[in-house]
Amino acid sequence: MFCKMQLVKLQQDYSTVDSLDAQVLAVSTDDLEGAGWAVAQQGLEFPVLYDPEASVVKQYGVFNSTDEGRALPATFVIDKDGYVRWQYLGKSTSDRPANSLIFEQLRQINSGPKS
Amino acid sequence: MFNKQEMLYNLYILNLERTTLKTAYYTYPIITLLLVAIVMTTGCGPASTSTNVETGREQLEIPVADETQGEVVQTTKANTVSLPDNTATPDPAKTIIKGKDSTSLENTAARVYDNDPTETTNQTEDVSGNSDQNQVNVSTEAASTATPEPTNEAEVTQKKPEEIHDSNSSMPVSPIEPVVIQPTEPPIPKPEWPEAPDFSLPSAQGNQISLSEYEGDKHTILVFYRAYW
Repeated sequence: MFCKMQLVKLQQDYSTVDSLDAQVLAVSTDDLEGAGWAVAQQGLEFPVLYDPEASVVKQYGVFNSTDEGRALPATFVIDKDGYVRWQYLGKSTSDRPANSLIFEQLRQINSGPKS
Repeated sequence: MFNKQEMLYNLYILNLERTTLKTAYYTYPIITLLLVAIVMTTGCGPASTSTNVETGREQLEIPVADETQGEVVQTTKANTVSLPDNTATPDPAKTIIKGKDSTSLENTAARVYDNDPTETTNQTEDVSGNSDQNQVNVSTEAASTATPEPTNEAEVTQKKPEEIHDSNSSMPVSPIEPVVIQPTEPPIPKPEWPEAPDFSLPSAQGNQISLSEYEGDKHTILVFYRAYW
């Protein structure tokens, strides 16, 4: 499953994302044309952000210096209070978490004590 | 057609290549082993352990160490300053030994403590005077040059305990260290979860979106992706 496919799958399950009181932010170092193409082609409703200087990518420690400075495939679950509750760092470009994994984390956050 | 000399020359070169390959094959591992042994014996051992033990203290001991070094430098300066005094003391000894010719003594003093090239000229002047005095002068020179050296060694031996005492004196200063470390430590044990760094980026939809917009409203699934995969 490629990174872009993950966005598509998240879009497909966006109703459950919304029901879990969550939203999606996608970040890429690729230019906005590619991102815009992805948005238009896949009908993504959530914001697709452009990080040309990879500043956010570096902030989250997923900067891939070996791959032309692109982002490593990674997924973070951040709760309402701004804490990183869960992260999934892909070991390869096709290593992406399934939606069910992410939703499980969101359910745990919603059921657990609020931070 | 074949040329014998060319054949022989080619064979010679082939043999050379073989021998070089053989020597390289046998010598390179030995050289690497030797290098590793040298590094293991000389470089790594106690120094690395000592630094590992005090990794936390290094940053804080740096100013203290600098102060001690400055003190050491000062002591060495003082010792070097004292050296001319020690070298000046042999001069009355010379005068006592000889007592007769003050001019030649001054010449010897000039020899010992001035530049070397002047020695030959002074010696020639002395040769014009007396040969026996020259011999005596040589012995006094040897004595005068020999006497400062042991004083230097004694000073060096005196310096070493001073340095040790300096390092020991820096140890009681160590209680200050945790006070400096404590402000740096609190970020490491974060409250349960790490805070997500905030950001603001342009979106493909044309808006500027920041993470803090959703704070207190919704959880966010932050996905780093590549568009062209």
